[in-house]
Order: sequence, then C-alpha cells, then structure tokens
Amino acid sequence: MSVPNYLREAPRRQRMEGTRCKGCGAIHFPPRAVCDRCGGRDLEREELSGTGELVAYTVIMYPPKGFENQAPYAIGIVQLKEGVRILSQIADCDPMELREGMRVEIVIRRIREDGGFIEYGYKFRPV
Amino acid sequence: MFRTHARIGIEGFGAYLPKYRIRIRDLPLAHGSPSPDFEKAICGPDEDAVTMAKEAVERALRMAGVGRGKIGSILCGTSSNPYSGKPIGTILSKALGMEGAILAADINFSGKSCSEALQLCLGLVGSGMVDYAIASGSDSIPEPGGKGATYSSCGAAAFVIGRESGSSIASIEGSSTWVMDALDTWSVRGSAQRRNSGRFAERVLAQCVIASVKDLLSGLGLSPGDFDHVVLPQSDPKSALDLAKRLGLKPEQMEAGFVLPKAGNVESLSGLLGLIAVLDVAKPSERILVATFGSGAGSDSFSLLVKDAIEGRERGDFLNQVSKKAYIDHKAYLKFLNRNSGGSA
Repeated sequence: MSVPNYLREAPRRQRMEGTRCKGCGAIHFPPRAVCDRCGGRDLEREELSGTGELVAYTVIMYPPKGFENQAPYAIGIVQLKEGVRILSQIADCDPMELREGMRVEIVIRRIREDGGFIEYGYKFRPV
Repeated sequence: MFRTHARIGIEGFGAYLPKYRIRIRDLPLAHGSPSPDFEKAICGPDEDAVTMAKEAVERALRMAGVGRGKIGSILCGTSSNPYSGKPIGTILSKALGMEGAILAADINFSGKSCSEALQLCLGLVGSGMVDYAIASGSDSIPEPGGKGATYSSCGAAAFVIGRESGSSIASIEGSSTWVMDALDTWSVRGSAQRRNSGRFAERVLAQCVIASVKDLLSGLGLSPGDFDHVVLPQSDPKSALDLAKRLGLKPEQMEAGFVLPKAGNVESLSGLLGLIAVLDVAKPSERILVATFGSGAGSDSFSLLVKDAIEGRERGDFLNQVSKKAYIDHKAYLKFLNRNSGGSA
C-alpha cells in the first residue's frame, strides 16, 4: 500500500468510519459517496460500533507475502451490530477455539510492515 | 514540591495488558530465581507500543466520558516506539480522531516516562492551556534477556486529566520530582544491550525515590502512615520490598498496588499499572501515594485523594485483564519478541 493511500484510508481502517444515508438510514462500510439502497447522495460519516459476531471463518496456513510471520492465523466474516458484514483477521485467538456466532470486538493492530512503514488497521478479537 | 494553581483531578483511567503470559521460571536467566510464581505479559505478534497505548487511552476516555474534541493534549511515555522518527502521540491522535489543534508528543528514554507525561499534563491543565490532557505510557520488551530485564513486561496505561470537579474520580494533591544523573542502568544508541552497574543501581533507586517522596510529604505535611495505598517502583520484588521497609510502610499499604507478580514490570510506566490496580478497588476518601523511578532519570511522586465519583464508574477492567490470559513457552516468547522488534507484524 502507498503512503497516501494508507493515510487516506486511516479513518476507516483505524476508527471504522463508515457512512450513513440521511435519506433511508442505510449504513455502509467502507464509506460510500452514493447510497446503494436508495441512490441518495446525502451521506454522513459515522463511526461504527466495532462489535458484532463471527459469521464464518477459516484458518490461513500458507499466508501471502507480508503475513508469513503471523501464520497460522484466522480470518473471518464479522457481522456488526449495525448489520454490516466485514472480512477481517481475527486476533488474540487459538484458531481451533473459534466458533460461528462468537461475540467479537474491534482492536487496532499491526497489519503488516511493507514499504518502510507500519500499517495499522482493524482486526477483531473474541470478547 | 509542585503544586498547580488550579486543583487537578483524574477524570478517567485505563490500562491494557496483552493476553499472553510467560512464567518467570520458564526464562533461562531466571533459573534459581526466588520468585518462581511470578509471570509477565507479552505482546502478541501483531501488537506494539502504539496498539497497546491506543487500547489504554480508549478505555480511559470511555471511563472519563470526555468528548475527544475537548482533549487539548496527548502525551505518551515510551521506550519502545516502533518508529525511530515518528511520535506515538501523533499516531494516537489520528487513530482516535483527534488530529488538529492538539499537542501530541512522546516522552522517551526513561523508565518513568509515563509519570513525566503525567507531570506535564498537570502543568498543562493547571495553567489553563488546555481543558483536558491525556498522559499515557506504553512499552514492549526491548530485549529478550539481560540483567534487569527478567521482569520487563508489555502493557500500557492512560489517565485523562482535567480540572477537579464533581466528576473527578481522584484529586491530585501535589507532586514532586527528584533528578539525579546516574549511570545505574543505561544503553547506548544503536545497541539494544542494557548495561547495569549492579549494587550501585539499587542505591540510586532508593536515594531518588526516598528523596522525591520526602519532598512531597513535607510539602503536604503528611507522613507515610497517612496513606491507605502506596505504589512504589516495581522493577523487581527485592527493591520494592526494601524501599517499603525503608519508608516505614506496612504490607497492607502495598498490597493492592503490587502488580509485579501478575503483570511484570512495564518499564516506562514504573509502577503506574499499580496505581490503576489501586484505583480499580479504592474507596472514596482513601489517600494514595505513588512513586516512580527511571534509571538515569530520577523519581516522581504523587499524592492522590479518591473522590466520591469513583463509586459510579465501571471499574475492575485491569484486574479482569490480569486474570484473562494464555500462557506461552520460552520458544514462543522468543518468536513473539523477534516479531515485535522489527520483523513483519
């Protein structure tokens, strides 16, 4: 990831900033310029709760470049309280102890160190 | 002794202790150690001083109930910034949505960096420069072993400081500091290895802490017996107990704040985790004495009076973290340390 891109995306990666449509109330993550439900363009920034439940997960044994030192690690689909579904790494867990429906919460962690700077971003951990 | 014109209060506090623990007896350097039941916290493979500080600050802000827009300063005491040329304070300000007209800075190079940040926050709030300030500290273990590093631990703490009001959970009655330029424990730039001058180091610790505590007590007209809880630097069990004896403290005064056996010694906090453990259980009107120490830096001490508002706050978070843990062995410990000292996250 480039430095400008990282800084531009920091609000959503580090504070889970999404958008709420003022017209129909739909919440989007990542943030959108146009509501995908009603087509409205009047959207406001909103920080999401960062809590939800694990819908599905898998364990990565053979990681891509930049994640070698973390393997084995889990990634999963998390459904937030607001209804949004997010793909994320699951931190602070024994992958064998994960269960669908587990309550999880957001944490900010090192994602990877590439290109001379450290990328911080969200992960989820079991509550 | 330092005393601010306006009375200063603690509005909220928070701590973060990583989930992973290693028993001190599982460290090769600790063979024959007199404290085999002690354990310390270790950063996970994707954690560092930044991620831990963020957790502690978020918890402190949540307890304080202070809007982020009201924070005028965020200071972070650390000796393990993952960057050599970028402050943690600014990374935190962005991650917490507080970028802009805010003083964000790091305090480095000392085992008492967090208490130095706290002293500065008292000045910032006391002078009226800012309404609220955050003093935080965060450290990961700098090296796998070495003399004096047996109890070195990972963790973070944060305090939200404001002018004393009905919502303050504790008031800060006064603070003191004692500076002494001593080569007791040090490291040179470019080398992770720490050097220690042995018995001389213990003497410097006692001299500095006793001097700062005496200055504080004489300024306030108090004696060690006036405090319900006392938190002293906890670099190892022997020095903490020796100090308590020399200050004439009773074991029950030390009990709540002695977290070394369960949490280890998070260096830049120098015992401030102990203050958080005390605040987790303290009752209104109790008085707390806290003294910190940084090798080659000196000692800070603070006197706090717990206020009624503490009863209405949700507490016990730190003690909950102390009990929520997963043990790792020495092999995993070395692997985690390697990842946290420059390897890919």
